[in-house]
Amino acid sequence: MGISFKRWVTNPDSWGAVASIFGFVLLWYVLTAVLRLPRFDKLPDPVAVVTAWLSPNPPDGLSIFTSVYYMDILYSVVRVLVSFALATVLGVGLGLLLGWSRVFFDYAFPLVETLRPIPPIAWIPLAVLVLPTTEMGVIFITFIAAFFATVLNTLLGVQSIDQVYFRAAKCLGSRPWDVFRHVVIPGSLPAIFTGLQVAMGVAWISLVAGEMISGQAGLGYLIYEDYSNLQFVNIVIGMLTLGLLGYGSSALVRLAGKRLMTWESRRRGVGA
Amino acid sequence: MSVITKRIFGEFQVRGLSHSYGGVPVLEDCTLDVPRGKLTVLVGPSGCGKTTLINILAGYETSTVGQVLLDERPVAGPGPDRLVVFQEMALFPWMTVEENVNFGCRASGMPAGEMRSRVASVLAKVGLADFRSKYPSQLSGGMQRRAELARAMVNDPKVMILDEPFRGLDAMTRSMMQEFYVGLFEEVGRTNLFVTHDLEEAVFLADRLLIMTYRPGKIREVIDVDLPRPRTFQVMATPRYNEIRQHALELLYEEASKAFAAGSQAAFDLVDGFAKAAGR
Repeated sequence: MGISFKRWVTNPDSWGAVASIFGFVLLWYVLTAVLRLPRFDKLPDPVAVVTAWLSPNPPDGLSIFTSVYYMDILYSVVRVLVSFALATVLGVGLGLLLGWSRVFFDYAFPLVETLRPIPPIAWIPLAVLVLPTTEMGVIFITFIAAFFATVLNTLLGVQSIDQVYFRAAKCLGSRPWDVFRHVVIPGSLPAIFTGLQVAMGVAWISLVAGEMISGQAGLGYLIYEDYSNLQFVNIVIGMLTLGLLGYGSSALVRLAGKRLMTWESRRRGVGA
Repeated sequence: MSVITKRIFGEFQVRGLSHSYGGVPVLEDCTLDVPRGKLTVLVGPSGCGKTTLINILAGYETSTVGQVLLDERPVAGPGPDRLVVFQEMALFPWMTVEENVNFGCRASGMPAGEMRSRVASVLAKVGLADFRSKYPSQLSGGMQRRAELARAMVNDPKVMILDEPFRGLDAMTRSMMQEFYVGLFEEVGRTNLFVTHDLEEAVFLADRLLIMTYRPGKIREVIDVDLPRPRTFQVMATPRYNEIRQHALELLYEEASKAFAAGSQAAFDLVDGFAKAAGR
């Protein structure tokens, strides 16, 4: 945070990012509008996409001036936030418990490891069958992969804590609860935040899968519907919107991690 | 230091202690005393079981054979009456220097006012008063070790156990830390057990020097180091220092060669095993 636009522009590190985005768009333009290679000629070119995206009167009915665009964004964002919040609370809780209690680990870990590889898409039929509303189904599907990513990273975080910290805490007279609060939780925070970043990513991925199949609104639904209507410009707008939202939400998770782990960013010679 | 009262410090008695890992004896019939108010230094070659011995004294491990008594009571589990300063950097990286130092006081539920004044005086003592709100990663190696000493001292333990606390420091910082540490000891006179494999360090610090044998570990000889206190680095140039050091070196050398021979034998066995496996 605290990086001004001016500093961002004058910082050579940000030029690389701009260059790669520009290169990507240029390649896209050349393939679809200039060379018009076979099969690529069916894709909308970047100029068409941006024009439609920014148009007050979009030909296919989707742009930053249409309310349906924001409705879909709102639906997707709320679903991701709810699922992510559930995955964080339940996933961190279960991961800490697995790492903390040997007995609980022996009972629960094989079950977690069996359920974890099942892809979110495979859960769709049962989620639709069992859960009372489709909305809950979509949220469950968005939640499930994020949840397992959080559990596993939290568990690995607890296991990676150096034994010397446990010994030091015990020797200084800590009771188990003190050890949990002052060693286990802060010691696993870096891994927890790695897990939350992964979780945020897979939440968006599974959200779109869920919305395509059982949703009634949202960006995944938008893409799926425009696929049936052959409105490819709208599909690309939906994809790019997903990309930007995913980028932004991961950045927020990183920022929260930095705020919570001041000791990580204040290494000698790096910061104040 | 006025806040840390000179109460009665503790003493260890170890009688006939044996310990083994997976059938391999590490300690055998180990008997020693860590007398009250003295700085006892334990030296021995690498792998002689020094760390195992202090893990048992600290209460992290228990042994089936023999007795470990602290003030005539058997040791059961780790506790703040025997504080360990570890060879690894054991400060909590997620806490500031001050939070690290007051950790033991918070765990014991010390009143906030008393805790503040104790922590302030100990931090001043180790020269870290201006660094109280820094994180360990922002400190130099020497400062980290001083913070660790402070974290142990602030709890006023009966015994302090130091497991090669200055390992990994550069030579100059190490010398400074030795002199600083010996000064702290001389001021308070707490019972200290200091473990090292560095003989110069051992003779410079010690009231009593315990030389350990190579595996299975036991005490080979106890040397009384009658060098005058307070000690400064000048003591290392005196004939008496060299006399003690020479005697200790001869004993240690014998044990170290046993360790070396055992290491070489293990290496030969390994090569032999490979050769057999390769059919030669």
